[in-house]
Amino acid sequence: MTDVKTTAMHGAAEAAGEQAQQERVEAVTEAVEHGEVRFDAATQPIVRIKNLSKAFDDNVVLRDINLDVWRGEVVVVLGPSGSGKSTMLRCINLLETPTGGEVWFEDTEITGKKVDINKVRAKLGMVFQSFNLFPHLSAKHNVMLAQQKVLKRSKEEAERIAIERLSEVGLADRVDYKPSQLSGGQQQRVAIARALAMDPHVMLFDEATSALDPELVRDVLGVMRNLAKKGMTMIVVTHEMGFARDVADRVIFMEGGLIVEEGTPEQVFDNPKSERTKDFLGHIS
Amino acid sequence: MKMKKWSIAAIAVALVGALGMFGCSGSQEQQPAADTDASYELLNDGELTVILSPDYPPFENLENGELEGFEVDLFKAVADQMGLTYAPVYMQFDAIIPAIAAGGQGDVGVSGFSVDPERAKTIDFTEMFYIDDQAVAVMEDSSITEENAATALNSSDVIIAVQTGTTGADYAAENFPNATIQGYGSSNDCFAAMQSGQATAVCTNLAVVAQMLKTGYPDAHVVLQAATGEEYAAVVSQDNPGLTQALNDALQVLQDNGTIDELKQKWFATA
Amino acid sequence: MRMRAMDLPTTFGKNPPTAALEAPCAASRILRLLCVFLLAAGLLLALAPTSAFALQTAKCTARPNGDTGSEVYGGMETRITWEGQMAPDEAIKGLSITLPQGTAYEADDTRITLLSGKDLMTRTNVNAEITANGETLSAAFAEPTAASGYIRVEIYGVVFPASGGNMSLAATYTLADDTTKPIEDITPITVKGTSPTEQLAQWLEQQDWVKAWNSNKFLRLFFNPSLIVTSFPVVFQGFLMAVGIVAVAFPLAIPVGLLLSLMRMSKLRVLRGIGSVYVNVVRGTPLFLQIYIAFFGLPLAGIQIPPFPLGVIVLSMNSAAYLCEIFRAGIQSIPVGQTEASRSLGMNGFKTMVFVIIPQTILRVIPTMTSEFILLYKDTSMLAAVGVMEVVMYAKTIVASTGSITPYIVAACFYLVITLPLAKLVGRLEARLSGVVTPRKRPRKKSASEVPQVYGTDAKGITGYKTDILISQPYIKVNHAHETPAQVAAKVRFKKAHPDDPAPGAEASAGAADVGQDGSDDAAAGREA
Repeated sequence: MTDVKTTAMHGAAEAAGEQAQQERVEAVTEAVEHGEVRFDAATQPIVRIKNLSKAFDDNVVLRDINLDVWRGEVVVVLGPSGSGKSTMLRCINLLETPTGGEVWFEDTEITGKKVDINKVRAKLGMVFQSFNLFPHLSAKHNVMLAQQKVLKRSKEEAERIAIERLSEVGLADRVDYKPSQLSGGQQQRVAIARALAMDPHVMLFDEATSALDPELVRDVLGVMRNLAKKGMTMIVVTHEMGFARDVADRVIFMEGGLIVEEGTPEQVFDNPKSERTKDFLGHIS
Repeated sequence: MKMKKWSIAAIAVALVGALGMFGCSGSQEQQPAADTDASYELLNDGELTVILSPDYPPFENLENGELEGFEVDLFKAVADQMGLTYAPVYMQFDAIIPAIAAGGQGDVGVSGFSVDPERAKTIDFTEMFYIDDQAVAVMEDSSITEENAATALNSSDVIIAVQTGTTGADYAAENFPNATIQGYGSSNDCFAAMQSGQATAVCTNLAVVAQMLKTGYPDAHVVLQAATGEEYAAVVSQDNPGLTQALNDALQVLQDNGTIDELKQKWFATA
Repeated sequence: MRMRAMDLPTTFGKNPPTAALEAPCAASRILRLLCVFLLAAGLLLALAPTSAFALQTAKCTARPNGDTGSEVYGGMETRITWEGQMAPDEAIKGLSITLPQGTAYEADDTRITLLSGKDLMTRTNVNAEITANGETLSAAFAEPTAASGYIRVEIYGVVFPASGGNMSLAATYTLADDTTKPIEDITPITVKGTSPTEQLAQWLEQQDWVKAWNSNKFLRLFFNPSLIVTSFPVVFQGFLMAVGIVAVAFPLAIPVGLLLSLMRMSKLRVLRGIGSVYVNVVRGTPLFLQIYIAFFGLPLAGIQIPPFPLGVIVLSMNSAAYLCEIFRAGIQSIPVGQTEASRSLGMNGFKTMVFVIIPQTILRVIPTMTSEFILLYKDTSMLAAVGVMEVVMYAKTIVASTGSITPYIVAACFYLVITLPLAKLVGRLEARLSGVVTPRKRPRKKSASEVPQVYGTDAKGITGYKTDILISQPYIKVNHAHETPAQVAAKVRFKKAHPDDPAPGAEASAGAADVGQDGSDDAAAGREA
């Protein structure tokens, strides 16, 4: 199995013509590991997953995952239910604690000891399938809360930024609404604004549109599209093939806790290497 | 709105029902009573159901789960005399008179009741069968002594524990108006309260104080006693004068044949 | 006789004048001082017995006849106890006591007793013929008493004038040689004027309808009108006490309960253990026992706390255990997604608890907390057993003295005054939290048009959902085939906002999503590919 994966990975990397970059990564990583260099986005992945594994008791969900995400990159993770894609995403901000391997964010090994995970999480925005807005707070206060409590911004500044972010996601007229008064799409956009208000370096989207009515999916995808255009680093777990094809810089296909296919959208969609990917996509086309 | 109507209707039905029940039973009881004084009604045939609060040694208390005491023995004898079985029912002291007055719980209340005209408005007393006095006890280490008791007890920083509804409570209120009179459910609780420092003194019947000091509170002592001469009697519903009469007859017999004196000897004589 | 046999330790009362002093006495301190003075005088006289020494009053009191306390009221039955010490050379054969103008009494019940012996604990009834003449009660003894006796007169059924005031008694006594002397130094009895409620009660008792009402045993025992009137102000004092207790105990219980609930959910085994032992012990034992232990046990352990604060502490500690479980259930009912969202924003566990979880929990637990408040308020009645003067305690004293259940009914009303409105409030809150808005008399203007109602279908396009009022999580409910105004509005808005956006199209995305789920659709991905 491991062979299949590595072959697939190497194939993808070569096909993408990223050989040079790969080498650069290895060099820099080594330097960082020896404490020689501070984080440099040009030479280092912003998120680096090394030999990550995760098991819930006897149920192994992730097996030896390796993934680098570069600044400004939009990585879309595809795969059938239960393939481990959400778990992998949640391991990046330690909502799940990995059972093995390392996760690096910029120059910090967040799986290491003595890491202030709260500081790291503040820079890793996350959007959930079920929105998880704070129902007792208005849209504006949802966006303000962590700014004030984590970034220690003043109330005025937090409010200004909240209104800005909400306007960016098209909700300028909904700032004082409670989540219960908003549609699902609106709620998810508030959730995106809430994450963006923290000025994150990376945004994680965990099936952000799966709970939405198809009519409302567009609004949310629109926001995500704009975000990608602006150069936000994004790791997106989704079922939205259209979005993956249009927006992704890289597509990852996961199956059974492994990355079985990795490459540009064209490579993965039009010329999948793995049988499993073909099978999965075959159902679609 | 609907609810209000319902509740009014429910109360009305309950009241009418209660009126009917009590009205009927009242008139039924009065008739035989008018015919002959000797007839009486019992809760259960062949049983003299006695309501008592078994926390009043040496009159009635539970010793290792066994009911015993002067009034227990006495009313066993009374029941014998009347050809009935003695059937005790336990109840908190201050609930007994209401229970006898309301009926349906027992025939006679025997729990160290002293004859009192206020009580006599609600229930009938039998003839008295014992005379008791009041006493005030304090802990050994109290600043109140026999010498200063009469004045020291009548002070605003004194808390006197009494059993609610007893003549001891009345005595304390009349004679120590400046003290705080704190009521408890039983004489045991009064003593427990004093021992734990919740109260300064206990005021209750002398025989009870004596028994308490002897059995559970050797570190307390009597600082004041008063020969108030309270007459103990049993309480009977006013609707059942025949029973009062029958009990009086039985008590008279026991007085005459010396049984009462024997029991007094048994329960109150000190070694 | 038994009293003597008991041989109680005593070092005084050996001679009559001292005994007079030591006799039970409720008179003022001034009288005490007077007695001391008299004792000194008596001793002097004993040394030089030259002249007659008059009958001295030892005490003169009336039994308190209010429902509680030590007050003597006019217009109500009481009992006068007068005690006097005879002079060493005087034997008495008659007494006459004149009560204040307008005082009624039952002459026939008058009891005259001679007290003698150690501590004056031996009683001898005096056989006397009692005659009543207006306010003057005269007793002619069958035979003269021995000299220097201690005599007690109890007059029953005394009703002082309703106006109250200081009631002075005048008395004379007749010696064996038929000389009549006045008894001096009788301190007046302070009688309070009848309270308005007492007057009302007495007026009620005279009314025919009340008599008819009371002729029914049930009504008399449970709803005696005059007792309702008299017990109301008395039980009201207890009501204030009970409200005072909960008003302090409940706010105290909330933080303790919250702390306990956090302990029970703690990662630390020790904290969890302490929390659950406490909660299980407190919830697993009767409050009654806890009160007894606190009131009678703690002081023995050297911890002395006055009844009111102790009662407050016991009740709040008890309530905290129940609140703990309420809070725990409340906190655990908050979806884990809330914690995840909060933590993902960089909020630590404490901030998450304080700013995200607890505010939501409070909303959810308010109905159950209110129920717990009702329980706590009712539980104040348990404190009656240990002498805290609350509602039941006051009612109980009246029940004990009157033998009627009516004061308990009055007490019940004082509980209902608090519990009924609260129960109603709980109902309202629960209805509101479950999303069912109770119809008001006037329909509110704010309606569906302003507050968008959220209906829609989920990603699978088969079921509708309505957003829970508290949780932002959608939950599957019923299938709504139609589009709601909000949906239509959303579509229009989207088109306006993105006029030239190629927009992969809802159909496309939805189709792809469908495929992702069940792989049975051939829509979007193919076309886009």
